[in-house]
Amino acid sequence: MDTTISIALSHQVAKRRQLDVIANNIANMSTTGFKRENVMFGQVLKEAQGNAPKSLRQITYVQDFGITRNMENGRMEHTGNLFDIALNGDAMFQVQRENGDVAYTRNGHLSLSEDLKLITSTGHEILDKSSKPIKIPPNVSDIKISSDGTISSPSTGLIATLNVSTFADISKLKKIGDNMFAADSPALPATDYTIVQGAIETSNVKPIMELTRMIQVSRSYMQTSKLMENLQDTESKAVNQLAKFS
Amino acid sequence: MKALSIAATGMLAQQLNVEVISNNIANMNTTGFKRQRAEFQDLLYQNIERIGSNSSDTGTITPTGIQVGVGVKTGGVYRVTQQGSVVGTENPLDVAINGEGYFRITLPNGDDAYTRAGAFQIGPTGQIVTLEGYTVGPDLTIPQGALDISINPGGEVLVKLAGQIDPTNVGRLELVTFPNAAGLEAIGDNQFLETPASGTANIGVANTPGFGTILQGFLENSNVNSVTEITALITAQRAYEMNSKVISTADEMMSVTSNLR
Repeated sequence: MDTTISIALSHQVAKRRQLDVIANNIANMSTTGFKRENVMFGQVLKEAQGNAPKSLRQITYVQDFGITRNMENGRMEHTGNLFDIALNGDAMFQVQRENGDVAYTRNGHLSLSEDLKLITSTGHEILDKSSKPIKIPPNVSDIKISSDGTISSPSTGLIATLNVSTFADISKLKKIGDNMFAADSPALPATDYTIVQGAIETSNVKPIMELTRMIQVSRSYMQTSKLMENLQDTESKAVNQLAKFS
Repeated sequence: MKALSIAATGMLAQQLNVEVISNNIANMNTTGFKRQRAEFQDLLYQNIERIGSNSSDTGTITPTGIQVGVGVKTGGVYRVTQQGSVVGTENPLDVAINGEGYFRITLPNGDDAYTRAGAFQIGPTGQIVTLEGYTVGPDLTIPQGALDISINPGGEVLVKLAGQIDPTNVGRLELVTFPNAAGLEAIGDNQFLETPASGTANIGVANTPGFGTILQGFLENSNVNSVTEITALITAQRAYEMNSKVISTADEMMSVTSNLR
């Protein structure tokens, strides 16, 4: 009897985790370059003690063992700003973190720092092919960023080329907040991508899918609760009726 | 259960989004207004099972791990500096900039501000001033008794005086560009201030490479597109609703638990 309740509990814990992930997806419905996530569940096999055949003693708990990220491209939103760039394809821009590490982002809303370096909206410097920050010469206002990431202007010519990288498995990157990712595996130079100047990539969250998944989570959570209630009913009946002496 | 607070951050973000959109819609007919856009970023992630941690003593690692985000935050509200549509007014001192550039105006405290709203007037001493009465750079004076004012695409102000055949050139309206015009700080009254993010002002001449041309008798409308704004408003409202749905679902799940016997 107690095993049943703990199995039900393992299910409820897993469903709560799933709701947290769905809530985060919905909250980030308008986040630039956000990638939606889903929880993966696995079985944990245990063998109950007793004399019954082995196949009857097997019980499975639920465990959440990982988060998968869907790296599908988000919709492109046209802004017309010179320094708004959207990436099309499985690739990432490189940015420099405060501690000197390189992080990766798909957020292409760039602006200029005090010393005319190209920075993201969180103030991190975006890096060029030689992993250096990109400096825009003063008094240049007609910047062109081409589809392969070349930054130039008619008056000064080539300024820099954006470093666009990809990974063996891009969905294995670790999220660190602020639309940035950290990588454990080495970055490879990306080839299959295009950059669109004057656009921003929106989040790839599909609201209807998230909402239906949420309803599903809530319903299955309630069913498990019902199951637990029924179990307790049975248990208390057993205790009360067996304990009756006539 | 984190879902409650995550959804709360989502609702806050969408609320701000609606505020930005409503300001855009309110300024649909403001001369020289540039629409704004709210940008959002994801908050921190909690590592419940770290990516790359060992899953056995033979050195296998968990490839995905469990990272649960804790919501969303506003990264910034920035300006979209696209050109607005140009409408004719027939007023000789209404000027629009077609292309890059801002007019420079001098604030009462002596600082420079920049504007694309070219609805100018003549001040009490003959100076070209904005609707607030601030002088427009480089402080041009229209002589008394001027019959006609004409401003050419290069920004030269030519005045026809009584009894003269050739128009008198009283000076040239200057145009200012910035490396990153989206980084200018709005101070209301269609005026902007230079910031470290915008880069330093680059004063130049209209109708030359890198600068726009000046159109006399026209005004630049706002670049707010009503269709885009209304669809954005609907999306924001639906997103707000969905976040509130998350809250009620989380609440329901919790009440189910607390009602267990």
